[in-house]
This record gives sequence, structure tokens and C-alpha cells, in this order.
Amino acid sequence: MEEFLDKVMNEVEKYDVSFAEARIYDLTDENILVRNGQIDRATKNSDRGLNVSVIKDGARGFAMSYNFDNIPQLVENAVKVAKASVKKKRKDVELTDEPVIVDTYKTDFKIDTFEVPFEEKLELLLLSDSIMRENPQIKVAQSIIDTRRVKLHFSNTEGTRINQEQLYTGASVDATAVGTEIQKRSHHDYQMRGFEFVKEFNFEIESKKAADEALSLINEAKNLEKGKTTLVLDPYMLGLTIHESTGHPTELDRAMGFEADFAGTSFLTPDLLGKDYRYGSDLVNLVCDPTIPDHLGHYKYDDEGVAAKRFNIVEDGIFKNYMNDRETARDNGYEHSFGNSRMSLYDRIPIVRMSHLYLEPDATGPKNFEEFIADIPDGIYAKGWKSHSIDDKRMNFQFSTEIAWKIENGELSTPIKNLTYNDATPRFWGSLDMIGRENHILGLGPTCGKGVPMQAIWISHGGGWARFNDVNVFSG
Amino acid sequence: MEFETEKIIEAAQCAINRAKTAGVDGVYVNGNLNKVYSTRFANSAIHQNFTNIGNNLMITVVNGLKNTNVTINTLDEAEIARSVDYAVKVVKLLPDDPTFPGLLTDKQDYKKLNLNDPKIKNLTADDVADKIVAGINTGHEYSKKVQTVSGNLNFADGVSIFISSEGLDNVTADTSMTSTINIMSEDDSGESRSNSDFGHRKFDQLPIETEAAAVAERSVNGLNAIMIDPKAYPAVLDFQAAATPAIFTGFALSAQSILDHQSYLIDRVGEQVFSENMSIVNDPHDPHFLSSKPMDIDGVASQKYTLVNKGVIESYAHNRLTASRMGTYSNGCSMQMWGETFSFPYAMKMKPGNKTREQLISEIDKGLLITNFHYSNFVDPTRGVLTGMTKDGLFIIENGEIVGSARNMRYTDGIIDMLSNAEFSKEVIQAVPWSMGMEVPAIKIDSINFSSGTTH
Repeated sequence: MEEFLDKVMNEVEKYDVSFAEARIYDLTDENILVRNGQIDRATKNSDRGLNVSVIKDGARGFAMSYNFDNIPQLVENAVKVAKASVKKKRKDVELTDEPVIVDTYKTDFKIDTFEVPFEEKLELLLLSDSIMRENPQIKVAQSIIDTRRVKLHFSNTEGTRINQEQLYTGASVDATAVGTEIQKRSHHDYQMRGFEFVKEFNFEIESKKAADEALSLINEAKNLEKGKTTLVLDPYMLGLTIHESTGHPTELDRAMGFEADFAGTSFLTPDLLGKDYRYGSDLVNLVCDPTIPDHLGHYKYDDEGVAAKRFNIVEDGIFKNYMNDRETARDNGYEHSFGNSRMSLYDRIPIVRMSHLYLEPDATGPKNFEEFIADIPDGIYAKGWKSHSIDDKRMNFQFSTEIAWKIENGELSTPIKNLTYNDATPRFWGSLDMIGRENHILGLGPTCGKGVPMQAIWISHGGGWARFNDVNVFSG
Repeated sequence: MEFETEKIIEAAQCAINRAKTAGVDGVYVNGNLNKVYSTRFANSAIHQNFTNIGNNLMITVVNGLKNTNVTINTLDEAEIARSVDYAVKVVKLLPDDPTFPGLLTDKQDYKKLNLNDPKIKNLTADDVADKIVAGINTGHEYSKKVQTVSGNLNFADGVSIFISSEGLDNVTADTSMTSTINIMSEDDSGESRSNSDFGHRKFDQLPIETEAAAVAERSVNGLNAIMIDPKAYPAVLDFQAAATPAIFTGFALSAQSILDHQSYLIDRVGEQVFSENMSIVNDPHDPHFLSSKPMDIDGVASQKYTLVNKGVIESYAHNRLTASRMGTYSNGCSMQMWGETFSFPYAMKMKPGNKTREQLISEIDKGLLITNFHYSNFVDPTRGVLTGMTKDGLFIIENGEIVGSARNMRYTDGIIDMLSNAEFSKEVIQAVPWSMGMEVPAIKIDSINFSSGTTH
């Protein structure tokens, strides 16, 4: 593949461009879904193409194609698009200076999920399906194994040449129980690993748990009176809350207004950078770290060829940094990019994206869940994403969970259904007063959408169990 | 354009021949090949701009009562052969699904629809940029209070094909454009935004300047917004906002949602659920409509049919699999959604009413005009409870007139409650939620419940 990138680099020399990049994005995925005993999806998808970008007369143009045979035409198209962009440019595009990198990197795995016989995966999914449907009140059972391999090749006119390969594996179960009402429980996790992850996920245990909790929701769970409560979030709901209320508002392109036509803007406007804006309580340390292997948001280099870095978005409750790319970083006084530029497919433009973003555990916090809730006389423990919505500045949010339990005198008691919590971002994070010591990270399959055209990207979030106070709750 | 339709047809035929020789019962191929221009602008300047030549072939192999598919984006014969071989191997491993409808063999009546714009053969990135510059300039010319014009323009021109081993085939040339204009105005009172999503099949008729002027006016009118109590209000959902309950009703009418027990319309065919003023048809044959097409991805000819008639649920949207599982016929609503074959009424048109939008507003004593919703989601799809934010223009109505604007609020309410006594305007627009065409009027509703507010 590198020969195609070399051809692009040679071809751009014919034009008076100040900078050029070329990428090959080569995706293969396999998805198997068993629903109520039937194989409702057994698909394989491959999507490969070439993506060229140039800066010409201070403006940027991209051209992409599935066809690798006509590179001169592709480069010419990119130059034409850049020239068209000159007609209404904000200012000349400037990029941060970054080190030249030449490297090849492959994520680690023990068992290549693509090499595991199809029959073996099918057997696991059918077993999971039958476990969930043992009780006739479970009317819909779904079990999924997802596998995804991405090969990325990058080159730019500064001399950077990078080859990266990533293997993602995901497992998912959900059970829908039908009685006088309908309730669903699901569990899914994705990691940048091989089939060893599916074995650890343990379909037998997870499918039984999903079915039991779905049945408890229709047979035992109560609705909740509207009010304020002490709310304990499990790492998955914590992850969703981080994603929506921390991740999106701290994407620098969004804060600069570049997402105004679709997802909105941010209450964390660029003038707040370096002003010690209080985002949450002193305990809040929100960290972006794509360098950690195995997590779904892991990469060694972003799609501008910049090395991934660990950095605090919020430190001791104070807003410290945005996620950025070479252009937005330069525009806002950063010396270097943090390396957050990502694209979801070859025919998309890399933009500022989340990767692995989590709430740092408290090293002095409770050691386990039992200890975490032991001193809570009255509260709610909420688990499992059901619904989410947040305003266009990422301030007012409302999330619903699949299941919750009352906490009474330090122990879980009655299951709660339809729990919905609503708050304003800084008030909510300001109310955080306890974080667990354990760090639980979960991968969200392609659930983060951003950009026009839409780019769905894979990320991981989580942290320890976290306790928030005086949160508005009701049965949604 | 820089590609040839023959190439993708040959590629599809190559896949069919390969599968036939492998001894499976049959195969069908959905494909498309297109050229794209996609430009985003923000802060009154172009900031993302690309062109792409893309293709996609979905090859579905059928053997007995089972099927599988592979999707590739190459026309390379060797790769097509490898992909087909993989699909054949997998389909032979699958157990039979007694609910699978088997191969489509019935002759289909594919409508000939003129969905392309023959004038844009030589369209360039400059043409697209000129159109955007005109939109940006129009926004700023409306008022000095207009601070930034943002938006996007996505143009695609190409061909879609369906070819099956059973002799069914269709080739349709298709041009489509979707666009968004979002304008921020500002004065001493703060900022205000307004927004419009629109689309067209003819490049020279894409109304970017008209929309920019209207959005600028709404944006400026939205200044001086005041905070009001979050509670229940009578309201008019303006055209863009009306698309939200409509599309979530579409999800509830999906037969797949019914089978998944993820709909509030389970077992309600024949029942009066909505206002008797409310009727919805699925109409994929109107050439101006962005959702129009002659067939679905199962190869079933698209059909015009009624989903809701005077508030009574008349049909669900089916593909061949959901129809087989529910003992009925497909109405041609199979599409790819979230990587899965899903049944969805992709060409919904809500029937207009008899009153103008202004008359609907004039009938409200004290209430709201809601221009747009943002980030709406089901709180509970089984009860039809939605939540979301108002965005880009929330206006206060008193004694039938707009008297000012309000800060955004969060609604949490049931779709059935909202639409049970609704009235519809005589004007309709083509909204483009999720880039799908949808024809909607403005809707007057008795009540929408707001559960919290914001300061912007």
C-alpha cells in the first residue's frame, strides 16, 4: 500500500502546494447476530480507499476514491477543491509543527478473531440465545459478536510515514422481557483485542444476568417518585455521562463553532482556556489517554500522524485542555497537537474525536462496590444505558438507565425501572464527592456520531464507581 | 462523471456468475457508484471540503432457508470472487430459518423515476463553493446582527443498481442534495441561532439563498430571549420541528420495531391512536422527493401505501423477512440502517390540513412556536416517550401573535399525547431528518410538556 502513498507524494510535487497528506483506510469487519434462535445477520464488509489532502493558497482540499489506479486525477481533484475553498476561507490554514515519524505499529492480541471458525462463534451465540430464552417472558433475545480490522497507512510531505493495524472485538447480549410492560437489559463491551476477549466476556454468564435483570424489571421493579437523590453511577453510565458532558464540549473544533451546522457548539468556549474555569469538584480528574493498549479508544498515532498522548481535560476540578488537531491547536496557542484527529472511513475528513476518556479513580477511595455503598444511607445505584439527550451547548442533559436499585442503609434493595436523571453539566460534576479505587473501562461500539457526513467512531470510557449528590431523578 | 455504469453492472454480474457456479440457490446484488461533493462552512467560511468517487456492492447469497451478505467497495474481479466464496461458505454453515421467505422470484413492477439532474454533468467544486458563498453573503446581508453563517452542502450524483440471479434488474440514475444553514445573531442581549435543513434533486434549484434569508430573519427575531417556566404549553411545531415526532413515529411503524417489542404501536393496526386529522402515506414515487426510489434493497418494487389514515394505524413498514414473520406481504421498505437490514417507512408524507401555519399560530392564546428540536431520543420506545431540547428558535405566542422569544427548554412527553388532538397546516415542506426526505406540515398541538430549562 505504501507505494500508492509514494505516488501521491510524487504527484503533489507538480503543484504549488504548501502541504499534503495521504491516507489509506482499509477496513474489514464481520458481524454475526443471533436473534430468537435465528441467524439474523452474518455479514462481512470491506471498505478500502485513498484519501488525499492538500493545502493550496492557504486553503485545504480533500479528494478520495476507492480507485487506486488514477492518482494524478485524485491529486488534481484535491487541488481543485482547495482552490474552491479559497473563495471563502477564514484565514490561511496553519498547522502545529510536529516531529517526523517513521513507524509501523500493530495492536496486540492473542487470538485473531477473524481466524476463529465461524461455527465456534455461532455456537457461542446460539448458547447465549437459548439461555436468555429459557423463561418464556423473554420475548426477544439478541447475541452479537463483532470483529473489525483496520489498516491505516499515512504519509505527508514533511516525511512522516506510518503504518498501523488495529483489531477490535466486541460482544453483546440483550434480553427483552414482556409482561404487563416491556423492559430490556443489555450488556456489551468492545476491546482492541482478539477472541480472548470474547472468552473473558463469558456469554453464558452475561446472557443469564441480562435475562434475570430484564425479568426483575417487569416482575419486581418499582417506579420512582420525582425528587433529588444521591446517585451512584456504574462505570458504563459514568462513561456515557463523561462522553456527552465532558467529551463533546471539549472537542476544540466544536468549541470553535465548526459543528454548529449539526451537533451544536459548547458552553466551554475557547476564551475559557487557561482561565481556571471550575468544571467540577476537586475530585474530578478527567483524562484522555489513547496510549493505553487493549482499550477500544487506543491508537499510537492519530490520522494526522501525530503521536497519541495522555493529558488532563479536567484536573482537580479545573478545565485544563481541549482535545485538538494540528489546525485547531495552532489556532489556540498550543505548541503541539494532542493527537486527536480521527476519521471513520476513507471517504471522511479527519476531525477532532474522542478516543479513550475516563474519570481517574481515587487511589484512596473505597476498594470495592460493597465498600463504596456501605456508608450511603439513602440513594440510587444506576446501571446500563437506555436513553440519552443533551442540549446543543452540552449543558442540560437527561439520561435514562435500564435498571437501578435503591440503596438503603449501605445495601442495594428494591430494583427501580425507568430511572431518568437530569442536570446541568458543571453542577453535576461539582456534586461528585466519592470515586472508587477500581478502574472499569468499557468500549462503546460505534456509538459516537459526529460530523457531516456522519462519522461513527469507536471509543472507550469509564472509571471507578462515582457518587453525585442532589441529582434530579424521576421515572421517565 | 468519471465513471461508467457498465462497470458496476459487470461487477454485479461477475458476483452472480461466481455464486451460481458454487451451487447456491441464488444471489442478488445491490450496488451504487457515485460522485460526491461535500462542503461544510462555519464562522462564515468554508472549513471542510472534499470530493469523493465511491462505490459499494452488497452481495446477498441465498441457499435454502438462509442467507448471508458481503459488502465490498471494489470492482476488482478477484476480490469479488473471494467475497462471494466467503459468503457461499458461510451460508452453507448456517442452520435453516423457517421464517426466511426464500429468493424473490415474483416479477416486479419497478417504476421509471426521473431522479437525476442531467444538467450537473460538469459540476465543479467551484460551482459548489459559489453556491455556498451566495448563501453566506445572503445571511450577512439581512442584518448587521448576523455574526456567523454555518452549514453544509452535500451533493451526490450516480447510479443505483439491483440485479438478481432470478432475472430481476433495475438501474436508476440518482442525484440528491441536502443542505443546512445555521445562523447566529448577536446583540447586547446575547446570541440567538436559527437553522434550516433542506434538500433538492436539481442543483440550480437548491434554495440556499432563500433559506439563508429566512434563517437570518428567525435568528435575529430570536434575540432578547427570556427564561420561561418549564411546564406544559400549547404549541405549534414549525415545519422542521414537526419532522421529529414524525420520524419517531416512523420507527414505531417499522415492523422490525414491532417484532423487537420496541414500539408503542404493537398490536394497534385498526386502532384510532392519533388525531383524526393525521394521515401518513409512504410515497416513494414522487421524483422531487429525496426518498423516492423504484425498489428496496430486497428487490421489492417500492409502493405507495397508507401508514396512518385519519389517526388510525393502517399498516406497518415491512421488508420480506418481517412480512414473512408476521404473515403478510412486504410493502417494499427494506433498507440498511445501522449496518442491519431494517424495515422503515423511508418516504413518509404527512397529509396537510386546511389552515395556514399563521392561522394555527393565531388560534393559540398562550403558547409556543417551536422551530426545531435537538438531540431527541426515546426515553421509552415501548410507551412512545421522547425527550429532547428545543433549538434554534423558541418563540412565545400570546393572543395568537408571536410576541418574543424564549430560552431553550427540555421536553419529555409521549408522542401519542402530543399528536392525539393535532391540527396540520395546509403548507408542507420537504424536511430532511437523518438525510431522508420527509414531507411535513406545521403541527398545532394542545400540549407539550417541558421538564427543565437552560440559560441559552
